[in-house]
Amino acid sequence: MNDFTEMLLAIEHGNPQAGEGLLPLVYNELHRLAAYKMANEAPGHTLQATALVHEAWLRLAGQEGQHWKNRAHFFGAAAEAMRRILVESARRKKRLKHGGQFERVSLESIDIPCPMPDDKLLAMDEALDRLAQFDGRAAEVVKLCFFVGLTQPQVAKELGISLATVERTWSFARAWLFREIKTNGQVAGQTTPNSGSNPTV
Amino acid sequence: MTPPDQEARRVFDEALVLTDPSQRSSFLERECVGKEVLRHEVESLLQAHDQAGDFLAPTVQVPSSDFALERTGVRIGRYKLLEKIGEGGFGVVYMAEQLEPVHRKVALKIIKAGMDTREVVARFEAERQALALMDHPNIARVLDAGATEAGRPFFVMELVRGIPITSYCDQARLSTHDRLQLFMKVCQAVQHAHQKGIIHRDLKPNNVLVTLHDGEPVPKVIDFGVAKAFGQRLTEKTLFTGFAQMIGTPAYMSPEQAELSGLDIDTRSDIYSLGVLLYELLTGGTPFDAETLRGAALDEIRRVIRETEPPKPSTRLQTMGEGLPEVARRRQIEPAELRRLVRGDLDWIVMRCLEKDRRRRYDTPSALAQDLARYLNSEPVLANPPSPAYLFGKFVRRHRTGVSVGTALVLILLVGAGVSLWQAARAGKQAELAETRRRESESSRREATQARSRAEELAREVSHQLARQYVDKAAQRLDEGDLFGALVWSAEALRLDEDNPAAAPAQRLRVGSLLQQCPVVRQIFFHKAEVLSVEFSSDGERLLTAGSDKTARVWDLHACAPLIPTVEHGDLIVCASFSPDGHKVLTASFDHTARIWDAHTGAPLAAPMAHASNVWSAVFSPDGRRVVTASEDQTARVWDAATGLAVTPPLRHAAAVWPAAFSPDSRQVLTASQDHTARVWDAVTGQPVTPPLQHDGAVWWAGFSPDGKLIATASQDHAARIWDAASGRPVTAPLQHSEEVTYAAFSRDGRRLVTASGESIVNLMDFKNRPGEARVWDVATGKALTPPMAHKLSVFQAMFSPDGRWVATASFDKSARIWDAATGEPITPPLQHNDMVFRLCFSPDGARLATAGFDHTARVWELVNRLPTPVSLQESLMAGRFRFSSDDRLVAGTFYGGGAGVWDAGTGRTNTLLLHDTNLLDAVLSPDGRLLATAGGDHTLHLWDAMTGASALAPIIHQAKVIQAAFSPDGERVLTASEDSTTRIWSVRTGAPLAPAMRHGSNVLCAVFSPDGRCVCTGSQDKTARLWDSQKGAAVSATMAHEDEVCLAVFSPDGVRLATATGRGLVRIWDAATGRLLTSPMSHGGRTFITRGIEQIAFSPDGGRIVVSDDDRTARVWDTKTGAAVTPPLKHLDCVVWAGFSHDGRYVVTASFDRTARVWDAATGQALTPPLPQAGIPDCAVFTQDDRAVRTASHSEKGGFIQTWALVSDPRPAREVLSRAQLLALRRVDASGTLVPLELDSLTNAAWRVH
Repeated sequence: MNDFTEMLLAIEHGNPQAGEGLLPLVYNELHRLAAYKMANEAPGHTLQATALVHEAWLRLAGQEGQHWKNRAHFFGAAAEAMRRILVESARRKKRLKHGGQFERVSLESIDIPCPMPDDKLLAMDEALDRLAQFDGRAAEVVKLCFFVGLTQPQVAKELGISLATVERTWSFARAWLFREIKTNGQVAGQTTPNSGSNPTV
Repeated sequence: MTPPDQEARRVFDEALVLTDPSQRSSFLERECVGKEVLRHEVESLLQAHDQAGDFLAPTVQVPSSDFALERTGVRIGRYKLLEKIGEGGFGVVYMAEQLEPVHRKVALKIIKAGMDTREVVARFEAERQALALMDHPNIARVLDAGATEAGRPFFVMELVRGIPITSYCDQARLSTHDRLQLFMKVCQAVQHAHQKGIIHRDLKPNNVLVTLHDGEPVPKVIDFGVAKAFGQRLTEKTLFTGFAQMIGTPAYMSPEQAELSGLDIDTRSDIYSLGVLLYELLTGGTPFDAETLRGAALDEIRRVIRETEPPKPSTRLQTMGEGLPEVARRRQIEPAELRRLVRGDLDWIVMRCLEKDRRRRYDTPSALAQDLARYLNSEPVLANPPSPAYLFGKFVRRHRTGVSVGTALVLILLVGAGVSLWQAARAGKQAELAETRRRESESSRREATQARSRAEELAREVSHQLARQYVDKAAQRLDEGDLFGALVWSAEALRLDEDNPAAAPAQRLRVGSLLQQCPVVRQIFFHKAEVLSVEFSSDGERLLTAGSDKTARVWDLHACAPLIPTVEHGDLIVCASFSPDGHKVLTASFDHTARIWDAHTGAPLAAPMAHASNVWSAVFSPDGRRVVTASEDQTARVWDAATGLAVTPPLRHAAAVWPAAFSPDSRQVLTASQDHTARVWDAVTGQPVTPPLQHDGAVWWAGFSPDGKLIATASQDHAARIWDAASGRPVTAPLQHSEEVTYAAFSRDGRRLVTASGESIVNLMDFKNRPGEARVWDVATGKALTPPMAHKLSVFQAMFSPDGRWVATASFDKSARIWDAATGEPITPPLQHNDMVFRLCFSPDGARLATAGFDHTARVWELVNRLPTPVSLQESLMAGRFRFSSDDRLVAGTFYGGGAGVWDAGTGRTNTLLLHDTNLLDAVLSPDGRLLATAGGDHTLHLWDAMTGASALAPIIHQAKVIQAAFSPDGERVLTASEDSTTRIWSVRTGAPLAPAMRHGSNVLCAVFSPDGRCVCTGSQDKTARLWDSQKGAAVSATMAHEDEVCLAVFSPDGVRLATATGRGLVRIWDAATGRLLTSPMSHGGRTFITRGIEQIAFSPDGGRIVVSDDDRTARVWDTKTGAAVTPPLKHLDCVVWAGFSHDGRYVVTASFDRTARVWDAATGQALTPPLPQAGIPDCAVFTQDDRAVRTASHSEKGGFIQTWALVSDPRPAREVLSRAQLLALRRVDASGTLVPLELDSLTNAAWRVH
């Protein structure tokens, strides 16, 4: 057994502290997978966030992977990790731009390996933090749907809640986030959230 | 903005359901009467919802289809069903008539409903071309697959009218010899398939049929590619539905197939199944009883296959009882004779196939067949345990007539010190017989001399062969993390090869690089029994050790000698410590006393301090004036250190007390007891100071924080607790472990606590082998600061280094470890003992660690990092795919999400950072390192000044993604390969096209200049590679056709040959002038769901060999003239992303996703270095110009790193290396070729300087 499965075991045995180590572990794994996959992207292949997360699961949970009935903890950590990776990447680009080392070379934006433009992503990240403050479950659902690319039935399964609950939570969270970003965007002199493309990484 | 409250959420939810605007507004009207705020809130949310469009839109999922009920028909597509010839859990097999394009009889297998037919057929289609490549007389071809009208998948195969191989052998009463011959043909057939990249996955007697051809039995392997098409794993569902019978019968299934993850099957799974088949041919039964497996639950099946060691075939025969005579009769042999025949070589060969760890199995079916051939020729088999006696025996048997006494003696001398007198005598006797025969045949003296020199030659060969096997043994020890064991085997190999100029340098490099990774042992101190206590004096000059041999010793660490006469008790000493001033020594013994001794003379200084039972601990107060002892008699006592007289009444617990400690101000005493409490007492009056500190189990350890304000306790109840020392109240939540907590210690600043968990030493006789770990906690919050620092077994002690940067742990798993206290990452390899490590102690300056082991030794380790410090590349977060410039001084890389950079590889300084908005697919430096070319998803190629980052040329634009850029050898031209199907060549000065576009039928995946720059080779998704004139852009040779897309093309250094690789994992060598194929395809793992297949091809400097790195976790070395494998696969634990030759062609370096790089002998494929740990995921690894170091670039979540690894040879005489290695490992290789414990008697009482 590795650290990861031990942590899952500890969580299932009711030791909540064990979950704290999960995020750094999942983050590191996703990070190195993402960095590796991007750096070595095979031509013509687009990497899906969902596939990445599933691969991380296989790599971390190893052969015992299927044994875990409740993977919610993992998916929670994976969603948060994906979010951090994307936000970090967006911040780095922004910093480079402001540092003057940026040279714009793009013609038309195709295949941007990020679910939405950087500015929107950062705004969304902040709004998501605020959402999490009063409704952690809603934030969780958004992270799983948006950053990991799970479908609503999959989210319901992984979180062990009914599909109806997921649908309701999603509708609300989406509307709330949209409103939030729009409001704050106008304050900051930016445009409204555009229609994001599918979450590809 | 205030968050929406519950009511707003409810109203919003309900309003959403109402799609009709008027209904919705009247609903809102109703719900929000008099609640304007609520109404505003809900309306704004609803508005946002309606405007949001596809904001955050999820991915579209393809719904899976349902299966129709199946109806049988007599005609399926172009096949007419004739007759049912078989039926099983999977479905039905028919003999069928193919009507077009050829008229022939085939077998048609229809699969039962319950599978996704589209998927099965799609998977088969993906495999079809590879299957078509198979052409072997012992393989039945799979011809076609499809779906019936009812949607059930079917397969069409060559019709084989045969019976399962096991039934045939039994019916024909074939001898073991004939069975082996037949089986070897099966191996060759499977080998052929493997070479074409096809794994069977379901080898079993029913899939190996025997037909008779002119009376000769011909085995035919059927169903290749069928199991893969199912892609099914072993799950409850498959078992339940009977599909398990199709996708691998449990009895023939390899451990990795029995795992639930089906992602990781490779050719070695087939080796396992072949082993089971061989087992059955030899013994009549499978290793695990098929009936038992059939009746077992899934978990049980998996457990058996993964964990249970099957009986050897000879053992199986022996325990067969009544069945044996029948089994023997079917082999036309006597039962006893059959057992004798199978015992030894055949046992080993079969068991090698059945290794749980597939790395230990034969690499290929043909290696298995070759070993069987060796057995049949009475040659030594590779599967044997490597012992001189065995090899010698084989040698004598093979050369029975030619071996003279002289020969035998030479052999013994050469094979050397490993051979015992007994074996020499036995061999001598056989040689004597031969000598008699020689005289009888009146051989001349000349013949004898000839025989002698031939024997010498053979003896050298035997010796070298043995050395190679020792190297394999070393590699096995290394795999298991036993560095010292590996060192002993490597030193033995060096001893055997020392005088062999061809082999010695490699052996010296092996020892040198291994030693470089071994933690440094400065001294070893021996006791006559387990060492239980170890402590440095406060000046770090002396070491105090004590143990089960009832003695305590003080050693001078400079002179490496005992300082005082040995101090003795009447029973074992469990704890010994210096007084604060270093002048006295205090010991606690199971003779029921604790005693104080003069640290300089060893004279007793005070009366024995007596308890009624074993004393477990004794320590001085910090002011040195008192002593506290803790005993199994349920009391602790405070004594006057000068007189040895009791100061307080006994401090009573309700169970054994261990340990006891003073507060830093010496005024209070803390005791821990198995009565579930720890207590604080006044050190003068003996009165309790606080209420008992209560746990739910024995308290195994307790200690004060350095400022005396807090207390930490460690308990059997799986928790450690932190208490306020004044009030006795807990200050944080319990610090939870999943096992008992055995130890707890504060950092020197008191801010952190480290805890150890596992099982307490008190229960030593009843250990359950629970795992162990240590963790670091924040004392203020009780939050864990590190992930668990894990040992395989219990951790008995954990402590911080004096500067708080490290944590050291002592474990039952025979090792101590040093960890980074901030990250929980291990800093050193395990500090190995040959038995459990009980106690440890940092030297006061933190530079050394002393460990006390049950292997009778105490060891002092030098805590220096001898591995190269990674050079961190500035601002390289999220960068990767690093490549060195040709002089390896610069490194270029691309950023995740867009951008590229160039860094100085020596300093890590950034030369330039560039940003693209889109993902870059390639970034390469020009041969002189001045220019950087970046190719991207934005259809462009850019050229940059590699030093300044200034744009060197206007962007060059393609119609689609530019996948690759490459400079011509003179750096004047750059080529671009694009998904717009073209490759183009440009001037780096003007950006003008220099030749017409070179066109393929589909995406170009790779393009490369020939070494002289005259020619370009391109590979494409259109399954061809082409050679072009780089000036004219015209094709110069025939199109090189492949079975799949061509992803890689590489010229040999002389430009004469060309290597290509396909997505399916086949490598081919071509004549670079004519485009003629020179070898048959060399088969690799190819692309799968999550792997990229072949990563790199590199030619040796002379062009005679290539090394290919693959995501199947191997790199392989091939001969470019014959297409034959030169070495066994070079194995990693994960995708191999890079491989290359040294400049002299003798070495190969590989780099893998497993975060290691490794150097290998290019001739033998044996590793020359241990895995070299990388700071991140390696991108590439190159030899320095002088071949004396390897330089690697890697990336991690912390950015990019460059590491330089010196290749160090050990120059010392082999004997010296060997004796040091034996001392470190406390093991040696005995005459039978096994690693055995060293006899310690001669070493006891001694101290050894090791490094």
